[in-house]
Amino acid sequence: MKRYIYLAIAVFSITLVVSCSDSADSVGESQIDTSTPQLSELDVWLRSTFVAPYNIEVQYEWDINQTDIDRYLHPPYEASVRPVAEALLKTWIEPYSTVGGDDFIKSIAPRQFTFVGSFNFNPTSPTITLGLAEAGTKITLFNIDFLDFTDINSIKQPLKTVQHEYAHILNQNIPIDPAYGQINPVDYTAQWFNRTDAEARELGYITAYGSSQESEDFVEVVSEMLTNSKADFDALIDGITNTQSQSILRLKESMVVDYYKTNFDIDIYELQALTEAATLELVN
Amino acid sequence: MKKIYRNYWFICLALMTLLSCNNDDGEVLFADTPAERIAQQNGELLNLLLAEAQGYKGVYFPKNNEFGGFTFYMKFNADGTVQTTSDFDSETAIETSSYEVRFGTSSELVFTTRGHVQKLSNPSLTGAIGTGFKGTSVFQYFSNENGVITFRDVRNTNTGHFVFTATNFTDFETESVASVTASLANRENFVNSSAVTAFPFLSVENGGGLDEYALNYDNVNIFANPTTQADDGSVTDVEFGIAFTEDGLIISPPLEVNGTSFESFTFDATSGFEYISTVGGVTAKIGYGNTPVTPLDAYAFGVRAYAGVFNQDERYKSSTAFNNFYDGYAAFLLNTYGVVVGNVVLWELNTGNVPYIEFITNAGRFWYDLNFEVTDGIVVFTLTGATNASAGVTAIFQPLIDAFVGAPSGYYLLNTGNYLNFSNRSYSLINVDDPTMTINYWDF
Repeated sequence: MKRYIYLAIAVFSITLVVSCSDSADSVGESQIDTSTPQLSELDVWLRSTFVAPYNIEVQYEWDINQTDIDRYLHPPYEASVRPVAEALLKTWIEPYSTVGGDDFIKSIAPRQFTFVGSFNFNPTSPTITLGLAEAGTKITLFNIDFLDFTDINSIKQPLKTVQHEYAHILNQNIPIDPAYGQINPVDYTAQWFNRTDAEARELGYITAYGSSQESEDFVEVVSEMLTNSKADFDALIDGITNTQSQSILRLKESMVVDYYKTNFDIDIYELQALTEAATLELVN
Repeated sequence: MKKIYRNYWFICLALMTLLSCNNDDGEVLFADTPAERIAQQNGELLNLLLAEAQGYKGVYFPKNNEFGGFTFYMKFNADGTVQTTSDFDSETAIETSSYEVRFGTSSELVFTTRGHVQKLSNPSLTGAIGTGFKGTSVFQYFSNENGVITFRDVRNTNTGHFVFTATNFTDFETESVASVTASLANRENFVNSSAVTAFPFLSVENGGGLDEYALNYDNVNIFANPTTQADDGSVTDVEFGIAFTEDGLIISPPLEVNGTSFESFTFDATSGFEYISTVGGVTAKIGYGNTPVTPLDAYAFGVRAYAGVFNQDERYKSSTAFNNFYDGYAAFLLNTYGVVVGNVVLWELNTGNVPYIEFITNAGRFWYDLNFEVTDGIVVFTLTGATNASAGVTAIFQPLIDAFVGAPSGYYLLNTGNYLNFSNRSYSLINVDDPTMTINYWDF
């Protein structure tokens, strides 16, 4: 009998607990502002060209939190944005899509590009940062206000940055062969900026920055291959006085070729030809 | 044992029942949700910006403990664009860029694409690589009092501020450019006018007396570090940035003297070259005087070096008034006589031999012996009359002789640092009788 009394009290109590809840606090209308922001002609173009097909945002309107808050930087001129975005489309997205398939960039790509108008001076060394890649999801390009679209060397600078950073992103998806870092590790240095590119090549690194560490070494080779024609790249290697360094760089080149072929079924020489043609078309 | 557990359960259930009936309805502090209140605050700022059809005048001090400020004019449009001009440099044409009102740490005005405002955060600025004027594109909405809207720099919160007031223009496009052109000219005239002397000062009435400071104005950073020296040798200083306007200047932080705050100064052409601020009957002045306020760092003339060469490689170290005179007279000599003065040199200054001044020209070298005496940082020259020049040549060169060594009361001596990147020193001779005339030399 006692058991029934306890049971009755328990049921009554639970009923009280439940009945005391205030249904007035139930979830109401969302407080998040989801209205479409004011879009300029440029915004509409960027949405239709990058966001819709590739889910890539090109952010050019200033947001201090998107860059290092301690650096003195500024947004680009609005007029600088579209030419750079078109260059990305023609020399990076379209060639990769051609050789890797339409979904290649859609599946492996940074989800955001941030464009910065000014140079990014490094306060502790006599260098500037041309670009940054963060967690494989974002690439920041600096000094886009200072590009000259009549000068191929000026245009190649941001393209090198993109090819460099995109190679990092590919490496984050599929790591490079650890053997790459064992080819000539002895001359890697944090003071890479004290070397010229020519000096670095004589040591078996494609650029001075490539002599900073293994991962940068690999992506610098990719970047140089994809921003030079095969003939120009070959001339670069053949121009090295030290024959052992030539051999080292040819070995690195072959490992890059193999990395692209094995992991992505991409013939990097075909990709090289496409990027070169697109770059020339940009300038012309 | 089982009964004890059952009782525990029963007590817990009873407590839960009691607590569940607790009235925990929070006090409603705001009628609207946080999202609505943020939207209202942003809306208030946006409406304020759009309310002025002829735009705003803004005075922006990016960091008033290092730099001065600049004047901007901005007309905000409903389509997210803003037209701006500024007196930062001679590129005063109106530019159209974008802006946005956002909520960051508070409601913020963000200049989202590059325009005049970004000139202060340009890290490629010559002389300030990496930082520029340490400006920003993001400004926190701070206050709106009697039509004065104050924003603060999101980074330099205590030292950077942008203050907007309505322009009251009738034609933004023309009046704004005219105004910044005028304020830019005022800034340049403050150092380049032929009316300015070698002795910029700050003076403030203090009780029955007058506190006088050497202004120590840095034209590159538009920043002043006035200093004054007491009788006991102790030095007192203040610091402020300066923003020139079309009819005066503004200093930041304001100068506080005995409870009186001086911030806005108006140019007074009637009193020489002075900007004057009068608050509550007390007057402060920023201008140029005829004598040094604090003792000058005197060059050891006649001791340090054998010769002094008129410094033609750093003409900015000579005054505008002297440069105008010299260039004018050089042109006269060339056009009238075909004579080009290559150099002017003071020789034998520390050898014990007879010193002389020599004009080295394409028509010959003409020298004039002289004596000099240095007293209390002032050198006075006296020509002996000995020269290799004919009376006719001397007549032609007399204006130059008068300028270089002819000041009756002599010349103040002032060290001016190294000559270019060499170890040679440079120094100025400032005409005591006419301190607008400063001639710079380098020594060896």
